[in-house]
Amino acid sequence: MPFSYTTDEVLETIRMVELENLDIRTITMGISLRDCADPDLKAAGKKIYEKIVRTAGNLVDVGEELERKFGIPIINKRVAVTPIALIAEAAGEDDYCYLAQVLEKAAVEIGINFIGGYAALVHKGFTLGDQIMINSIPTALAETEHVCAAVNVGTTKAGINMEAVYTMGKVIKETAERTADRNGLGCAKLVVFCNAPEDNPFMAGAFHGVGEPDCVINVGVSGPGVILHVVKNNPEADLGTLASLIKQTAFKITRMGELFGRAASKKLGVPFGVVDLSLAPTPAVGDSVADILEAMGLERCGAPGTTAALAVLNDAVKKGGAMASSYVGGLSGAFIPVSEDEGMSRAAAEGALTIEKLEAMTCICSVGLDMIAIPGDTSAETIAAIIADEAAIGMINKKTTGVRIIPAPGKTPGDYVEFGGLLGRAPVMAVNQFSPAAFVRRGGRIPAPLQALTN
Amino acid sequence: MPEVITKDKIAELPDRSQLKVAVDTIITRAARELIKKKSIELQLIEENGSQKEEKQKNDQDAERGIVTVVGRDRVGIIARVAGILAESNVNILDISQTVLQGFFAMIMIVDLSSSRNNFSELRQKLEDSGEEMGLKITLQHEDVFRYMHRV
Repeated sequence: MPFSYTTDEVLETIRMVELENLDIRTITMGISLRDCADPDLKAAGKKIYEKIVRTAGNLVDVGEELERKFGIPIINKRVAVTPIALIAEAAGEDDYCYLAQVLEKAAVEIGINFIGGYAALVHKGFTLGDQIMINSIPTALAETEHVCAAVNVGTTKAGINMEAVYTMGKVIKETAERTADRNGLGCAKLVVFCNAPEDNPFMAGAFHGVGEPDCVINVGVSGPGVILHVVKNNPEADLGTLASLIKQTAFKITRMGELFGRAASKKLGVPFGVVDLSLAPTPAVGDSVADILEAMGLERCGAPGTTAALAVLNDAVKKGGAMASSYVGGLSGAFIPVSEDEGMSRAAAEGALTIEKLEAMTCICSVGLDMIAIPGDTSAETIAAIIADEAAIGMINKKTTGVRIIPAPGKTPGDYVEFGGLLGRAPVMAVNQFSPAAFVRRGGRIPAPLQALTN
Repeated sequence: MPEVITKDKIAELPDRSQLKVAVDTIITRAARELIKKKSIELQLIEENGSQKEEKQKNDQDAERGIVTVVGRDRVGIIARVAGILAESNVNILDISQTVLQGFFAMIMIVDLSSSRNNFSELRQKLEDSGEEMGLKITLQHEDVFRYMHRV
C-alpha cells in the first residue's frame, strides 16, 4: 500500500490550513430556471422557489460535511441561477422585484450566503424583459439581503451597448441612494460585466449561463496567504524562479478545489463544472493580494511596477492552477478588490493606489474595478464612462472585466466606508473631475473590434 | 424524487408534535431551526435500509486519515495518541517521527474504516488531548494530502 508522505509535505499542508488561511472560498451550485418560466409571474415564482429549495436544499449540509471531513473551511455556499430577465420575460408584468423576493426567501430557507442571477445579458441590445429587469435592480437590491445582480453590457464578439452602459451608470447611482443608510451597500451586490463568464462561482457576478446543464457545482479556490508565505520566504529569488515557486503553490491550492468539487459533486449527485483559479482575498490580515505584490518588492501596492508584478503573479497562478484541475473556468485570475483586501485598502488610503492604476491592473488580471468606493456626488455619466473604459479593456483584450463601484452617499475622498464582514472597509477614492457626459450621451453601440473577426 | 420540507410546512405543525419523514427527505436549514425551536420530534423512516447501510460501509472502506503531532518533546506523546486511537478502534498503518532540537513532529497514517467515533469526534478528541499536553495535534483526511502532493 503506497501511502508515504514526507514530513515536509505533511507539515506544509498543515501550515497552509492552520496559519495561512487556506480555504475553499466558495462552492456555488448553478441551477437552471429555464423550466420555471410562466405567463403568470406568481406561478413562475412558485416554480423557482420550489426548484431552488429542492435542488440546493442539501447544499449547506454537504458543504459543512466536507469541511468536517477534510478539515478545510468553505467560506461561502452559494447558488447561481439563470439570468432572471430570461425567465421573467414570459410574464407580462412591468416589475420583477417579486422574483428578487422569491430568490431571497429561497436563499434564507436553505441557509446560503448569497444567491446570484438577478441578471440580464444586454451586450447587443435590450428586450422589453431586460429593460424591466434592469429598472427593477435598485428596488430589488434595497429590499433583499442575499440577492446579487449582474448585467453584461459588452462582449468581444458584440461590442459594447453604450445605452446599457449609461443606464447602468444611473442604476448604480439609484441603488446607492436606495441603500444610503447602509453606505450604498446595494452597489456591493451589483456587477456590470464585459464578457461575463457563464460558470463564475464568485459573487456578485455569478449566474447560471444558458449553455450550462440543469444543475452544476462550481468551486472557487482561495489562498493569497499561502502564496504570500512563499513570496516572503524567497526574498532573493529572481522573478523567473519566483514565478515557478508561485506556480507550484497555486497547483497545490487548486488541487484542494478539485478535491472539494469532486466530493461535493458526488455527494449531491450533480455534475462538477469548473474550478475557478482566482486568487480571492479577504479583509483578514495576511489574506491579501496587495501584500503579495508588496512582498515581491514594491514599497506599496500601486507603486510603479505594480502592473508588472501582478502580471507575474496572475500568470503563475493560472499556469499552476491549469495543471491541477481537469476543468478550469469562471473568472480565473487574481482579484484586486479594494474594500475586501486589507492591503489594497491601506494602499488606497495612503494615496499609493488610484483608480487609474487599478484600471491599468485590470488589463492583465481578471475582474476589473472591484469594490471601490467613490464620492457620493459622482455623476451617473462619470460612472457610466468608468464602466465604458473597463468594458473596452475587456472587449479589446478578449477577457472578462467588471465594475463593482459604490458611489457612497454623502461621502467625499478620504472618508471611510464600512460594509462589514467579507466585504470589508474602504477609503473613498477620488475620481477624475473632468466630464465625459457628452461622450456617454451619444449612446449607440460601440462596434465589435477587429479581434472579433476570428472566423 | 425526495420530499422537501420547508419552514412553512413546519410552521403549520403544533409544538412538540411528531414528524415522520423518509430518510432521503430534504429538510432545509430554516426548517431544521424551526423544528428545534418548536421541539418537534423527527422520526426517520428507513426505506430499503439494507441497501443504504452497505453503501455507507463501502464509502468508509477507503477512509484513511493523517494525524500530525507537533510541539515540544516529552515522555509519553506516542503512547497517549496511540491510546486515543485504540480507544476509538482506529488502526495505525504507518508512523514516522522526528525530533529536531527538542521540537517533536510525528505523522501517523491511520485507518478510520472501523472507527467507533466519526471523523469530527475523533479530531476533537485528539485536539483536546493535544491541548492538555501543550501540543498541536491535527487529524486530516488522507485525500487532502494525496490531492495536494501526488498527481
